Amino acid sequence: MICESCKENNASVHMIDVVNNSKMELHLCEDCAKSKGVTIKSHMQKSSSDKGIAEGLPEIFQSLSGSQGTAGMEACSQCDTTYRQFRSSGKFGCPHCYTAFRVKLSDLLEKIHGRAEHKGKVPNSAGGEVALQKELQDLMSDLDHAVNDEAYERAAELRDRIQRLQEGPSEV
Amino acid sequence: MKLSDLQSSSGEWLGGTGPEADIVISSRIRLARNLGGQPFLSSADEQQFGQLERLIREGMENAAMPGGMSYFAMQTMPMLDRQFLVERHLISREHAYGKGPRGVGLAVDETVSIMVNEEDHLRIQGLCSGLQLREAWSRVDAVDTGLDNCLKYAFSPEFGYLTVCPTNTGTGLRASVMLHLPALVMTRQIDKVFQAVSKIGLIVRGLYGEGTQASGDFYQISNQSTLGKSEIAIIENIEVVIPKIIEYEKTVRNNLMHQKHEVMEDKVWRAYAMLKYARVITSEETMDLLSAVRMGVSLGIIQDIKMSTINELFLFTQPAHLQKQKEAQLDEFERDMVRASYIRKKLQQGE
Ligand SMILES: [Zn+2]
Ligand SMILES: [Zn+2]
Repeated sequence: MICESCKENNASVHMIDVVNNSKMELHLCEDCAKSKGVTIKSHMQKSSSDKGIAEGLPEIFQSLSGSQGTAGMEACSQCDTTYRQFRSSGKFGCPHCYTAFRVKLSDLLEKIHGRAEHKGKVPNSAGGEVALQKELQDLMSDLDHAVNDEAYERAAELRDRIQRLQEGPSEV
Repeated sequence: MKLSDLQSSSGEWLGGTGPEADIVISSRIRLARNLGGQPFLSSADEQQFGQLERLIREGMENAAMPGGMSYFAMQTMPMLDRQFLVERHLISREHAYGKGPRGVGLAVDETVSIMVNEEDHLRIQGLCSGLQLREAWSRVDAVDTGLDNCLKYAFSPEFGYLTVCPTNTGTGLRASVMLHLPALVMTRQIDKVFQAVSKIGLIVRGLYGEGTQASGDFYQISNQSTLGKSEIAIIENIEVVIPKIIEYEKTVRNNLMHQKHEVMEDKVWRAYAMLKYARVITSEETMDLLSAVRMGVSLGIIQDIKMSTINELFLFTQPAHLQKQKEAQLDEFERDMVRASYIRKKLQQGE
């Protein structure tokens, strides 16, 4: 197979992922892969034949544009679940997984839910400060919408509420 | 409270008294919650499973529960009772037959149940009759807040309440409405509803009776996404669409009544006659016939039967309910006979 980038060398780095139910593939020669910043892990390097397949194409694509690439082998420090395991089972092992895989997760959650930021109820144990920040954020985004919709009366009302919240928590 | 107390009642949600009750059977809210600093059940070993169950049970005992709550361990509960709770929609099928220490907390009026160690550590669920998602939410919200004071939930300001499966994370909230749509099914227009509803991010599911055969006229509509919107916004998104579906079903029913009046009356009365005189009847056939009679009651074709009677028949003719009434294990054929005789009696009383 020929490298998809230089179209000269033999492609020895193969990346496959399933995105929105369709399979995406990328085949590169080792030089092109390196020059694009793909960190080739040991389990991929061995593949002089057509067998070096890595998961997580979106991440690899991300890595092509600069940042560091990983191939789903990193694990949660609390429960040892790897990102690869998660992608095959659809289940996390513990709450800390959300922190461990935070970067990748934002993309995935956006795909699933449309948005990746929590709005809504906040537990007491998270503390009043979080609740306050949350409410402020929600109000600010409501304010953006109101301004966009040219609903100026509502916008003014929201601005007042934001000011009051910022002045002190006693108004909650 | 004992489980047998549930037997004589039929649950507030079957009363047939909620708003739009002739088309909307029930409204349900479910919250997924997990404890912070503990493994999810997906990676817990047997010992951790047991510890979690104990920890949550103790938390529930300490929490101030509106209306009070009784706790039942799953592993020591007879199979028939578990099936009974599934038929009541108080626990899921997976919860009834799953492995490891699990339990369920039940509010006396059956409006709220808490599954412990289902997929997530806690699944809090509220059920109301008719279109009352907000009422169901406020009950679940109150129980959740009570538990929050006694249990430390897994939460991140960015991703919200953290769940085993990322499809539930954020609010952890699934809101669903059960609809009775026989006219849309009859005229094959139900697909249009599916298409319209899926475009705005909602999911439609059929209601399953005994076994896996979907009983044709009942559909559940629920939200797909749980993250990025507030609880009320999620509920509103469903609330906006339900009246349109109700309107659609009613329009089609009225058209049928005008254009095919005799056919409609015939369908309803035949179903009624079968139910009233049958000697052996399966669960599936009962569902189909009751669906037609239910529509007949709603359209005023049948006037001397209450909607609550029909709703109760749907529930009490299910396998575990029949066997609990008879206090005996019954095989399939026996159940079909007992079912027929129960329905006969119930419908004769109604006159
Ligand atoms: Zn190349
Ligand atoms: Zn973990």
